[in-house]
Amino acid sequence: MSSIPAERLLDIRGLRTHFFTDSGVIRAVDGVDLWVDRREILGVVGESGCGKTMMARSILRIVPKPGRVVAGRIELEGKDLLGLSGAQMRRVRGDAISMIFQEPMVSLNPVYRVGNQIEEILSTHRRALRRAERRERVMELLRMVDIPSPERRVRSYPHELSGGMRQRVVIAMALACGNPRLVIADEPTTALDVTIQAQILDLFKKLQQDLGMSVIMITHDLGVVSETANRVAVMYAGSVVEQAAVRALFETPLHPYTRGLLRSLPRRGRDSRKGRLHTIAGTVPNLLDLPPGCKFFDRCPHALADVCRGTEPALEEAANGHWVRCCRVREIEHEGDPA
Amino acid sequence: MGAYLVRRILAFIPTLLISVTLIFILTRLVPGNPVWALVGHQSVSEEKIKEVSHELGLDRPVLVQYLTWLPKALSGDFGSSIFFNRPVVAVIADRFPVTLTLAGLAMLLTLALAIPLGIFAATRQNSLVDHATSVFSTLGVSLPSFWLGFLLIILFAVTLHWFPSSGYRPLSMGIVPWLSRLVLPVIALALSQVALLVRTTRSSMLEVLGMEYVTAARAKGLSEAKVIYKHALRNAFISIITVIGLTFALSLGGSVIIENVFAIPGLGQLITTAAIRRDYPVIEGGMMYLTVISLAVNLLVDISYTLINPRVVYE
Amino acid sequence: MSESAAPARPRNSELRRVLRSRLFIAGAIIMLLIFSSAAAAPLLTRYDPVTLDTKHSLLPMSLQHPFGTDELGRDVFARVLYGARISLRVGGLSTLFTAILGVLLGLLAGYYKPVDMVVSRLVDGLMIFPGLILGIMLMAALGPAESNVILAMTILYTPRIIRVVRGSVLELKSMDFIDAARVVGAGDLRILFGHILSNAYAPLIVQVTFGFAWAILTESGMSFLGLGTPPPAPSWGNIIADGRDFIRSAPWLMLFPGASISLAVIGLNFIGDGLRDLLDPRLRNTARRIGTSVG
Repeated sequence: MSSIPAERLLDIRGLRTHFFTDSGVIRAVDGVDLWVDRREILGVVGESGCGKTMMARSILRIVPKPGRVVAGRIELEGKDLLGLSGAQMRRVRGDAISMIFQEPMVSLNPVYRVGNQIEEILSTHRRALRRAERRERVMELLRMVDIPSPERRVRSYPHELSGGMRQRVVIAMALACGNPRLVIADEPTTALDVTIQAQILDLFKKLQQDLGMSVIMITHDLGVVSETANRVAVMYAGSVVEQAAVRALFETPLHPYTRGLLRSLPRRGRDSRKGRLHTIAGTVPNLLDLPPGCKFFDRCPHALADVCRGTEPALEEAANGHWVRCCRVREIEHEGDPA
Repeated sequence: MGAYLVRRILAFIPTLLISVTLIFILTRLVPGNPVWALVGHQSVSEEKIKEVSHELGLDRPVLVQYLTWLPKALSGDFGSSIFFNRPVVAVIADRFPVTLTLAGLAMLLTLALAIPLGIFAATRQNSLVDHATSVFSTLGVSLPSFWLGFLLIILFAVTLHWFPSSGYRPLSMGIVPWLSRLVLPVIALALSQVALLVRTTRSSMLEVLGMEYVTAARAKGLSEAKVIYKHALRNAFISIITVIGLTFALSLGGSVIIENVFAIPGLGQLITTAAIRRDYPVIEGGMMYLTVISLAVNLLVDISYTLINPRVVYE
Repeated sequence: MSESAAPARPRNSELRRVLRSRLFIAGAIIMLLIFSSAAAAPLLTRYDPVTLDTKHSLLPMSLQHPFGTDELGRDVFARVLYGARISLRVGGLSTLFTAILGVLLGLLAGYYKPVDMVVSRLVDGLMIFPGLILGIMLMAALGPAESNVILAMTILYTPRIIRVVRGSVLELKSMDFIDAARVVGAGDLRILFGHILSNAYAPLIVQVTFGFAWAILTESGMSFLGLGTPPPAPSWGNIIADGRDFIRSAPWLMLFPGASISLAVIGLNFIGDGLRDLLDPRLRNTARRIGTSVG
């Protein structure tokens, strides 16, 4: 899928979100630079613990205590979200930027009917609407997400709906105000059965095209990313290590971590007889105790102590639109990977 | 809903029967006592004992006694009090409203204090208020209520003369006399309940505030007040409601001691003196009364629970 | 899913965690204090808790009588010290019996449906009576004696333990590791006591600790009403009951025994709270929203 070059919608620079616990400071997000253009789907991939969810929460400024954003800029159409007051930020949430959480069974309040939960977004952000208009809008939304018999479903409680339908409700909530600039979808299909996954993804893509919104799709599933996203950002231990168009990333990954990830995907066909699955040696560093310098140093097959250990590399444009955070990116391209 | 109600009521019947049977076992099967209670501890002839036993129906086999007693007990007929020479029901009817007032006011005070405090402590975790609340609640459940009652009397009645130290005046004699004699006992009774309910509210709220749907509500742009009072609180109440029911039961139990300390002529006091004096009909009647009240409160809690938690009815 | 490279925790860190819990330590110190005072009573005072000395009645606090004397001339300090023995003995024994009986019945009720039918009904029936009331009635039926107090309190609290244990059993018995044990050929007894109990002990211990606190409060309450440990035994509740007539003239008579009850109960509640904090997080997910699972 080619990306349509357009103006920048969201620009995140140097984001750091730390958790101040009794055991120490957990640097959950520690140097995130990423951006999303209009009408674009940006996939954010990384393993559990890499900070992608906290990054998403930082954008909306709903980081749970004892965490908080300690540095960085998050610009939405040029305006720094981190500088907004509480009331201003609340106006952004659910309207200009909305979020879809991972598990709809737990992100929907179990004691209120789903219609009520959608409607309250309207009563918060679209005060001018009268009750009947709100109700009508809710029905419209349910139809838009392909929920059958909406007039019945609107009075249902979350536990009365199937997993797929709950996810549709959650999507409807994200679109309630009509014109979100950005929708952040945090693992939107992870909790669903495979067949439903495909349906939901299709719905999502359709809505994105129709409404023209940008999407940040957080997932650990590379398959979802390759099918849905225009561009991809790869996160590791709290930083973005690589960011590129989907095709470019999958065909020519530049960061050793990305290369390791892609090589560890099981293959079919000719290569399946090659034997063992490739893995990346070592484990993710403890976020309480991050080493200075490159975070991937301990596990990188291309690491050179004198070059890579000292300072943390910056995210740089290695090729057109392809950004990498690696000191030795040029040499690695030539070196190739160990067998 | 109606079917659910009926089912719940039916479920209480075995419990009621067990409780009633327990009451019977405790009073009737201890040998000799009722007779002594009636005739006193003077030396009595065998004849007299036999006579009294026969009157009380104690010479018949136990099962027969039980079966004759049971329908009467269930319909509220416990005979006459040995000491008051009045029907038990009448004696209880005199006392019960007093206990109900005491327990009811204590409950109101508890709810009014504990829930806001618990919410406050949960939303401001680790603040001064939170820690103070924790300390207070541990103290509150640890102090014996009778001691607390006396401390209150010493401070407010004896030293400061703000309130009378004991007694009871019905509402008919005026609001001020009625209320002024209830302030100290209600506080003494409510304190441990407040302590317990604050803890429950706080931990329930904390648990709910950590739930994903609360974060999701914030992500929708709702005000913090809406997030806490509309989304979090209702879910927290699911646990809190059960404890509220428990609180009322504790009030009834605790009133026994408080009525003693403050010389309030309520049901608790009645049962205590009846126990000391072995006035068995009164003991039985009082226990039965309390059992029924307890069951009613449990039922109310169940109903409220289904109203709050839409998942329950479908069990 | 990758995990952070933290070193495996050594065994004695468990002990270190226990020692770091301030609640637990505070409670343990308090109880140690009370226990040793009770044990060392004859060393700490030369007075006898029951000997009358009407010539020296109602004396205020002094060096000779740290807590003063009561209306019959008995030294209150001595009474309070020996009263600690009663509270600990009666409370401790009833808690012990409650624990044994409660665990047994709870395990059986949770595991075997027919047992459950009977036991649960009994438990429900008993728990309907508000607190003290059943105790009063039991004492009225049984008669005044310390052993009866122990019996009555056991009857009163066992239902709660049964409920806790039963709940744990119900939760655990459908878990896979029980099936795994059965497949290997473990008999019911081994499963119950070996597998289930070893996983269910945490809430049980906490509840038993609180039960001890409850027992001390209840015994003193019943004694205060005249339906507990029979006088002239210096149960703290009795001492307060004796002192109530002198609330204006000699308020100290009630002050000290009441403070002792409060102290003991606070101590036990601290231990219970501390245990609950210590034991609970280990059973659940240690890393909640943050920590190792940030992603």
